[in-house]
Amino acid sequence: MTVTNWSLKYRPNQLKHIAPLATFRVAFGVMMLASIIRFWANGWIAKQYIEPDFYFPYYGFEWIKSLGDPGMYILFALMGISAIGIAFGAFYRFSASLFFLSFTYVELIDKTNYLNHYYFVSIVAFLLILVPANQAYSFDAWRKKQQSFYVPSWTIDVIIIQLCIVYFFAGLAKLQSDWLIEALPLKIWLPSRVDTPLIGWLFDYKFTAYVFSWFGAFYDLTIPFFLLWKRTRVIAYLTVIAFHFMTAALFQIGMFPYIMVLSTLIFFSEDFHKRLWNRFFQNIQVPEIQSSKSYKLGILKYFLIIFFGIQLLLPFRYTLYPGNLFWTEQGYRFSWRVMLMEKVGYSEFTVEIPDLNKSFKVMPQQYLTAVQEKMMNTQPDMILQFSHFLRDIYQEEFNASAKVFVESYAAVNGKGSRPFIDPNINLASIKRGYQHKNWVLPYNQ
Amino acid sequence: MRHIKYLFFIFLLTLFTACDDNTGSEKVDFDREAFLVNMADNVIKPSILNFASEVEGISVASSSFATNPSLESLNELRSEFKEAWLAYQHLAFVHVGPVSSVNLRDRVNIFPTNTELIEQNINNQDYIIGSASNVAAKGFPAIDYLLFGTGASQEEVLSYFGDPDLGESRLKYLSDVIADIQTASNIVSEGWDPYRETFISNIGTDVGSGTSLLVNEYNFQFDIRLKNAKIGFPSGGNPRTGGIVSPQSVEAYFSGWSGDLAKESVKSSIEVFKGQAFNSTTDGLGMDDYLDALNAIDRNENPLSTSIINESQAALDLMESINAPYSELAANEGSNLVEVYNQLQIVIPLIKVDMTSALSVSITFQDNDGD
Repeated sequence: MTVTNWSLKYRPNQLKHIAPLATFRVAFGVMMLASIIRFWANGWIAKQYIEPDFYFPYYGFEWIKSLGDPGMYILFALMGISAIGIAFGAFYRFSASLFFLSFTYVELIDKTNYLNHYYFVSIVAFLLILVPANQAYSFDAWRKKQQSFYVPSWTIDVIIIQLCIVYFFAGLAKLQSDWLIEALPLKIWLPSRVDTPLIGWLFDYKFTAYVFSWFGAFYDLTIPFFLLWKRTRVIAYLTVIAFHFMTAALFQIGMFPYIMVLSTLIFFSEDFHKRLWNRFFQNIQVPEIQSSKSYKLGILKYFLIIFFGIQLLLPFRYTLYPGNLFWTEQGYRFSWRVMLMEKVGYSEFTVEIPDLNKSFKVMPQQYLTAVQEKMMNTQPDMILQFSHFLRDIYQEEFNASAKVFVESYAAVNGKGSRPFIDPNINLASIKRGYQHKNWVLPYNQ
Repeated sequence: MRHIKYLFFIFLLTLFTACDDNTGSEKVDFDREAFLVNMADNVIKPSILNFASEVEGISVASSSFATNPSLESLNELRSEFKEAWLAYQHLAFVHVGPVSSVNLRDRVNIFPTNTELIEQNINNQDYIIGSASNVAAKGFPAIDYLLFGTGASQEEVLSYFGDPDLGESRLKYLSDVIADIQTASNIVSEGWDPYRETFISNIGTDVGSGTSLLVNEYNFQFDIRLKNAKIGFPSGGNPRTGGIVSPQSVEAYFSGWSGDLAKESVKSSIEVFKGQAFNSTTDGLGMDDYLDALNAIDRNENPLSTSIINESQAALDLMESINAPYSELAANEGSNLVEVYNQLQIVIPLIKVDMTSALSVSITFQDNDGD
């Protein structure tokens, strides 16, 4: 893999050695298995998917429900088994599909748990279904007694493109005044991490927040290029390790740093990966380049163009909505905006039953977990979903129509709390959807 | 290689020119450990000790009332009881460590109390005071009922306890309730010193750190137990609740001390926020100093700490102008308690949104995106 491949004469079906893809397959499978074990051991399966009384499904995916206990545990067990399948290249196509479906299903249950990292995992799992990462160095190859060491270059490049998209958009999102001029939100977050061993004392200096902000933006925007370029690759990769380990030490971002550190290995050369594999499979005779007809790009090309095209457009959909993106969050998710804002909110609901002349104050924590409440308080679409939930339970209880109002405040990047949702709007009557949320009060009133 | 050095040089250059000297060398000048030490040694510990000695006071007064029930011993008991209840208001804002592990809020101050359950317990005599089903039949609100709600006059209360059939059981219930508070108080006072080290050693703001616990519990007490329970529910709170008032759900319904306790609560909130040493005017390092060090401002660009203190003080001033017990006021729709509620509500976003955001307090160990 060299930069010259990215010329206009890119030939997606040119055959490449499978080693980089095989390494990626193992790394991804192992990391996913570790994530699942960690998730399970921390008790998060129950906490996030069994204990809550109410979930915030994505628009159009309301049919996706928690499977309860033991359903969720079974689902996670299947996910773990399929991750092992991916790592070993065992029943690979089936394992990758099962992993993609189970992981994505879990993510769709509750928006509360949305993380850009999880979105990334779903996409990569999907791409893995398409590529023959099990052709060699795998259980499947051993089982079928047939190793095939060459794959079309697109099967490796889709992963690289995906990684480039993540970094590039994460960097692009940082090119704005809060991040660059005011070093926010790092200026808020870093001082709270002064207890970090060794470097903690640095975080009391505002200067540190500026260095981190600028370096972060520079890093995200440029790292794919430095990784692609042979001459800078090793240094760039050391930076990848340093950068991600630093973020892992500072923030509660779970497995993501390690996933990125291992994923970016795919940028390394064929030879690097071949040497890696030769340590384990010394006696393998690599035959001459064989044809790999079944994986010629063909019609899949159009699908991938649309697939990546959507990913390139999705982060920009916020431009279709008026208002401040950080405030309204219309078009915020699925756009690689990571570590970008410190947002906190507060909300208190009032349910009115006009026919009976009754009204009730509802504190969200009666129905929501702490995390659900925290996420809802800052995201208008979740406030609306919760209002509809309240409307439905009260209408059922009193057998009369209910109105729902919310008194709410939010603050973005420490710039002072201000009224968030119009308290005079009956949220029970507002429909969910992609239309502009004009019931979110303007940021600057 | 040369290209890289060149690029890096440009990067550093832009970096240094981007932030002028003023922002560059600026530092958060705050000793977090000293803050936690002040909160531990000058705010929390003295209030625990004070609470323990007040509880001891009721205990002694209740024994002498039991051995010699008289107007005098009843009066003594009532006044010891009031002191202890007032002392508790301070501890409610520093619900950390052993205070939180015995769950003091639920254990001693669930109101309104369940008078039927109390009477039933007394009649049946087979209750376990510590059982979950009895949370609404014990603690200060239960004592409030026993010492004030069992008769309109002191003589009637005396005869309630002097009843030939049930008097003994009633006295026993009273002493069981007090003993339960005392048990909790003992656990808290014995538990503080061993816990202190844990409290002051974690100077970050992640879950379980001293700062995170303080801020979260402070917010809970202010919003749920002060604003809602003491003022909001009884008075109908927010005008939108359409005048649904429930005067009987005030704190201290029978003694009529609701106003005193609520005022003490707001006063305590300000003292704890300022890190003011308990029962003194020495103003140590508190949440206000922490916010100042972080340059936290509200949306009108005023120092956040000043706004929180001023708005809380404004609520206290409003409460000072009220004389009648809150149960009487709450009975009237749209009473001036609603004004108090609204003023307390102004504090809520400042402490729950602005303060938690400025301090970057975490609520969970779960992974996040930073969003």
